[in-house]
Amino acid sequence: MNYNKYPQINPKSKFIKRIYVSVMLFVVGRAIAAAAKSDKVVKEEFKNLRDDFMMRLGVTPNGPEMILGKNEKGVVKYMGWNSKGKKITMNMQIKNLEAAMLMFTFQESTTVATARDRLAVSGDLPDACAFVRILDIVETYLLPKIIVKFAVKRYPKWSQMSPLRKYVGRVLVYTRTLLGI
Amino acid sequence: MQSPDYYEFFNQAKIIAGNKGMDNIPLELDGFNAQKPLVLMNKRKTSSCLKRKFINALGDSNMTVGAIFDDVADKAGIGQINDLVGLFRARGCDSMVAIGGGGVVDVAKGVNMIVSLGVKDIFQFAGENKIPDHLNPLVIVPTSYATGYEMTNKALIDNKRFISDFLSPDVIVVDNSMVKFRNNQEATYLSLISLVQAVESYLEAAHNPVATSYAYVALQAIKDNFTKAIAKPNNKKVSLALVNGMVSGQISFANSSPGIVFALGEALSFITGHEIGLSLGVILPYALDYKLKNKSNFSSEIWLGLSDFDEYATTPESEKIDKAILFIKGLLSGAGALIPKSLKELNISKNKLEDIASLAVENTNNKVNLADCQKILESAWQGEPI
Repeated sequence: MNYNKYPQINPKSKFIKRIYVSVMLFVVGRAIAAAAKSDKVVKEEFKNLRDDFMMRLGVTPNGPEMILGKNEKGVVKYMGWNSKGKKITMNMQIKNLEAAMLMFTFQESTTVATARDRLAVSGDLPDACAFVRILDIVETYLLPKIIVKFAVKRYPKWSQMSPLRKYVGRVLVYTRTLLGI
Repeated sequence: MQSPDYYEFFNQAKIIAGNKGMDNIPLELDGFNAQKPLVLMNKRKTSSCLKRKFINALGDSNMTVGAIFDDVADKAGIGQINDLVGLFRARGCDSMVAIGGGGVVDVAKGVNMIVSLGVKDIFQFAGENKIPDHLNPLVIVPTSYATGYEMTNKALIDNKRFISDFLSPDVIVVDNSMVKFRNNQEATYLSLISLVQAVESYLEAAHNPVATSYAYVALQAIKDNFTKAIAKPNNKKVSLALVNGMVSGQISFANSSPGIVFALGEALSFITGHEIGLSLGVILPYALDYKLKNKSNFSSEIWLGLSDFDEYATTPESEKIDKAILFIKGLLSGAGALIPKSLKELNISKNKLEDIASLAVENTNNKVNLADCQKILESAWQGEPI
């Protein structure tokens, strides 16, 4: 047999998809930190999490990833993409880049992705559930209803999120996300 | 459900099925501490774009593919296995991935025996439970072609049978981009293999409840999708459902005693060269009639797999088996000219029936009765129910 006819293959990197997921993680990370200041439900969810809460949401095996957690003053901050030197209390890993693309192009909601085993979590399960709830609220602020319907488990009714809360919250979340304040 | 006094069930494979399933292969192999698989496929039996799809799915992982050998023979032979052992070792591979079915999976299991156990002659392991230890990880990615043994603990190499739990795959990945049928013949044959394997789980005297629950999945997939697949074989959703059914049917089959229908179909295929799915389709209705006439240990729960809960609950117990058989015959006649009505129509000469019956008995280690085989074959040849 001529071995050269069957060469070794190194599958290529999916560069554009990596960039897209990196941008989405950056935006979502900053938006969560912004919503923790602007939205009372998100604020309450974070209040119930441990004081040293620090999470990493990333893609196996080579990233990208984002770090989010409480600082010494208990303020929720987006802490970049490098987990080096940070004490991670909850690690959420999306099993591969295509699974991340399904999530971040809203073809699969976070809850459906979790049910389909696309995510591996190490840490406290209640913390992970709280994070999924927070993510649903933040996505409701960030995206129009027509898209967000696919991204969240259930689009909030008027009684759960009034239009006033939604539109004021949206302005605040977008402003804080863009300015990083 | 009939409560058995005793049963055993074995399935070590993790099943990943659905959209982007193949993208999980690097992570799954990493769990076995493996990073460099040798990939086997048969370009004559599978579409050429599957190779590209497989490589794309591994993108952005740390995995290197030792080689993709896409020239695997239709039937596994020791010559090709030895060549591939050389390729496996030359590239420093640590695992196997088989894309497709039939010879591809048998060759992958053969290579895996040699490289994992460090032996030169694998025929010392031919027979039942002769393999002494675990083998390297084996991932199977089924496509639209199968012969019935892929997901089981069996391999057929140079017409010698290897049966051991260590031959079972570790991961089965049913990815919807890999399972599109090329024509309705392919869809029909694959469905018939699953149908026979599932039906024979319900025919077994032991009534293994876990095996029949896998068979139930296979029957439901066939019930809902068989007719659709004949009409639109390239429908992705239908293909995925039938291949999922095939995986369940094979796991059920691996945990059941050898059945007479599958044994006869396999022997017929071996002697005449017809596809096994086709052979099974011709024999099945006659074998069911024979089994029914001889009051075999047929579980009425088969009707649950072929109907829904309401219909099952409202059918009197005494009518369930008859209804199930009628339903199966209806499915087969729905395939029209794809399944001939008799062995005579397949141009099989009558003097071959004796050889087919003997081979079926031999292949099952005398677990099926020669006289039963002869009567079923005779009836199938004539095209007249017993």
